[in-house]
Order: sequence, then structure tokens, then C-alpha cells
Amino acid sequence: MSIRVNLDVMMARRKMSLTELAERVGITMANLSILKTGKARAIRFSTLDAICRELDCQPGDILEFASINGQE
Amino acid sequence: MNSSNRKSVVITTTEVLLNLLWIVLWVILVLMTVAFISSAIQPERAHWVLTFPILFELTETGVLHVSETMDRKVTIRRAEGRLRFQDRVPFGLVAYNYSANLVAVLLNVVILFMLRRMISSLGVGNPFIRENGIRLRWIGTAVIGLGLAKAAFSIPATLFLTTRLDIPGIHFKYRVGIDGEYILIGLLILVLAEIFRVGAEMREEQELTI
Repeated sequence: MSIRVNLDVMMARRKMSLTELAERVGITMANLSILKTGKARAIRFSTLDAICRELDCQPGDILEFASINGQE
Repeated sequence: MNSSNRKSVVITTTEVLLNLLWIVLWVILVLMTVAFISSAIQPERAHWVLTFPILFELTETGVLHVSETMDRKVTIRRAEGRLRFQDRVPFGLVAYNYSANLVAVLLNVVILFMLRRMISSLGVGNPFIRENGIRLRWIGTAVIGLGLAKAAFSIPATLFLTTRLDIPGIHFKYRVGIDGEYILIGLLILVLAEIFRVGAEMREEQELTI
């Protein structure tokens, strides 16, 4: 899949740890880790909503469409 | 807690039964192979008892007592006998019979192997995995294979024997066909396997939705 999750970048900017974000968003560390490493198949709007709220950012700040072979 | 205890008893019992069957199957395989090889080396010493089902025509009439007040005249037109050699069985037939049994036993080995893997995944507590769908598919294919193999071996044997049999006063018949039950049950398992596979994929999808 060419959707890249840039959660770690945003977390570093906000200086927030994985544990803290998981606690604030209300999901387990394991699930947040799956999301962060890009292994997730899908993300619920409710989860995205909570993450954006806690990191004070837009969905586009944590999700990015990476083009394959230089094609847009 | 109680239900999970009961479940584990069911799993353990099934596991023990499957393991026993597994051992029995391999013992049968080894014994029949040893017997076959020894009869190939020393045909005069081998004592095979082979019986083949043989159909013949018959016209026996009698009465069927349906109830105390009702009797019906009936006729038996066809009968099935068991052909048995009084002295040594021709080696060709022994070899043919061995190959038919070998195919059947090997297909059973496949079925049992997959069943054992499935039950062990159930014991671990994670049965809804894609692999189990694939295992079910193997089982379904093997069951259909059993039906086809049975027909593939029995039809030529029946034709060969009935056309060459000569017993005065008896007119032999033959019936050829595929055992539909195997095919039907095999297809049922294949459909279930596909449902299982899709279900496992959906579960995987669900689990990776954060």
C-alpha cells in the first residue's frame, strides 16, 4: 500500500511518547505500535479523530500518499 | 470457566482419537506394503484373501408380510455376492488391489494430517486462521479424491472380473458409477473451506483496523 503513516514524526514534534499517546487516545500500545509501523490495514475515523486531537494536527500530517516509481 | 473446561475435554478426546487413528493408519500402510512386497518376492508363499463384490441376476419369488392382514408377492431380481479365490490370487489382481488401497490410505493420511493440525490450532485457542481454511480445502479435495479413486479402481476391476467369470447357471451383471456421496460431502467441505478462508481474512482485516 502506498499510504505512509508519519505518526512518529508528529509524535517527535509534540514530544509525546508512545505510552502517553496510547493512554490519551484510549487504544493499546500494541495497536498504536501497529499503526506507527505501518502494519495497519485500516484506521477508524474515531481513532484518527482522537490522534489528531491529542497531537493537535491534521490527518494529512500523519498520513501521506507515497507515489510509486515516481508517478503521481 | 466451566464451558472452557468442557471444551478442552472435547479437544483432548478428539486429539487422542485422531492420534490413535493416525497410528492405526500408518500401521495399516506398513503392514499392507510389507505383505505386498513379500508376495511380490515369493508369490507361492503369499496367502491373500481378496473379496470382490459381484452382481448377478436372480429371479426368486416370495411373499413379504407387510402386516398381519397384508401380504405382497415380491421378486428378488438382482443379488450381490463376494468373489473369493479358493487358491492363489493372481499377482496382477493383488497389485491392483494394493494400489487401490494405497491411494485410499494415502488420501486418508492427508485428511487426518490436516485434521490434526486443525485441532492443534484449536487447542492453542486460535482456530480462525487462513491456514485452517486451506487445510479444510485439502480435506475436501481428498474426500472428492477418495470418491473418484474408488470409482477409478472399482469400475475396471468389476468389468474385468464379471466379463471373465464362468459359473454355470448364473448370469453376471455389472454396474458402474461414481459414489455421489463422496463428491457431495467433498463439495460441502470445499464450500465451508472457502467460507472459512473469507472469514479468517475478514478477522485479520478487523484485527488490523486500529
